[in-house]
Amino acid sequence: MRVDGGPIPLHERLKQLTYVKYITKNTVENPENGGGMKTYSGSRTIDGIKVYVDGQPLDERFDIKRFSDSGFEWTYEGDAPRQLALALLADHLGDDAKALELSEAFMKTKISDLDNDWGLNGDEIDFILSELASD
Amino acid sequence: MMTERQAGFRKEYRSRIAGWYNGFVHVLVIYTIGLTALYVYTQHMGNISWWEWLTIPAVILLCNLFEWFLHMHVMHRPINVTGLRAIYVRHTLNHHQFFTDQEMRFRDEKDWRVTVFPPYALVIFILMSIPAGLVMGYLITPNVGWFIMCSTTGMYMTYEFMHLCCHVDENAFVRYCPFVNTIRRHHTAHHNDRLMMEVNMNLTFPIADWLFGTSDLNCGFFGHLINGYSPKYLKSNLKGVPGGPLEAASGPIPAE
Repeated sequence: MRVDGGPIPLHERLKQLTYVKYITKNTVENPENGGGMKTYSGSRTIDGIKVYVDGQPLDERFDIKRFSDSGFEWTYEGDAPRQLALALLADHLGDDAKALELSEAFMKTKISDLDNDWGLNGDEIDFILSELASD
Repeated sequence: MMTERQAGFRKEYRSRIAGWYNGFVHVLVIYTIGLTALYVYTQHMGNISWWEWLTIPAVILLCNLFEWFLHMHVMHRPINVTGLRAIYVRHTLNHHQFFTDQEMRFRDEKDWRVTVFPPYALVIFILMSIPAGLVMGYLITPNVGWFIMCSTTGMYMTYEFMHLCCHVDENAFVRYCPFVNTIRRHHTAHHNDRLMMEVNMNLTFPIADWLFGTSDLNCGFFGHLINGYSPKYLKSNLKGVPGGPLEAASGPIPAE
């Protein structure tokens, strides 16, 4: 809660609640969730946009929904960032319907805020989704 | 201070520039085309009425809006249309990785390759202007039609000049010349990688940015035009904190 009594916006809570706190809490409560975590990365390169999951190109998942046929992008809200959000969530969650349902919120919360080069792992995605669920 | 990432990109990009490329020739070709075109247009004009001059500010405003639209929706958005995607690649994936708000400067004229449009771009813009020039020249007066051609061609050359001024080393002209200093700060902020996709899309005068709320400043219309280097009116809710032109030009230009 802010000093004026109002709710703290989600993007501010995400900055305040550190990733480390979440991982410590999650590991203590679910010690088996320590390994097998996927790593996602993206970069704007001289040879084009590159997005990987564990070193392999991330599939756009046009089979679920085609928001954009122009590939991935980020750092703004739009069709290409939403396609990235969908692809990331579909790969991470393994649930296409859930990924589609959450893609817009995930795009607005995280994808629109990514830098030129970025990295995300499964725990970070879970952290963001848990914050979205509690919002 | 330039990051390793930016330095690495510059090194790779420069290694791919054709050996025959010369930035001075590049700019000379563009301005030769433009000035020749202006000469041809003006040779067809005469007995200009006072109200026909109003075509110029009207077209300048339309060009400003077009500049904003092209920058926001073509240069910073991937589009699967032949030609348009190449503009996005050249701009977002090349120009914006080569220059950031940490280091905005050319090392030499070969770096103009990643900044100045290909010479055929001016030819395309001239061709795009012809229908409007013909229609308005027929509907209103021939002078109005020719003023449309003069204004669009002139605005393109102004765009290239202002953009070059944003990427040269710090000097008294870019620091103190009104409008030039304003767009230099405006464009430096635009090169912050957290702002570049949505903020500060104008590259001549920040009119459309003010109009559409895509400016990083919180001030009025005239404040936008003559802001200069001042960060006083920066919005407090920006995704990133933009560097200023003095920081982007601090220290010697990196040799690599």
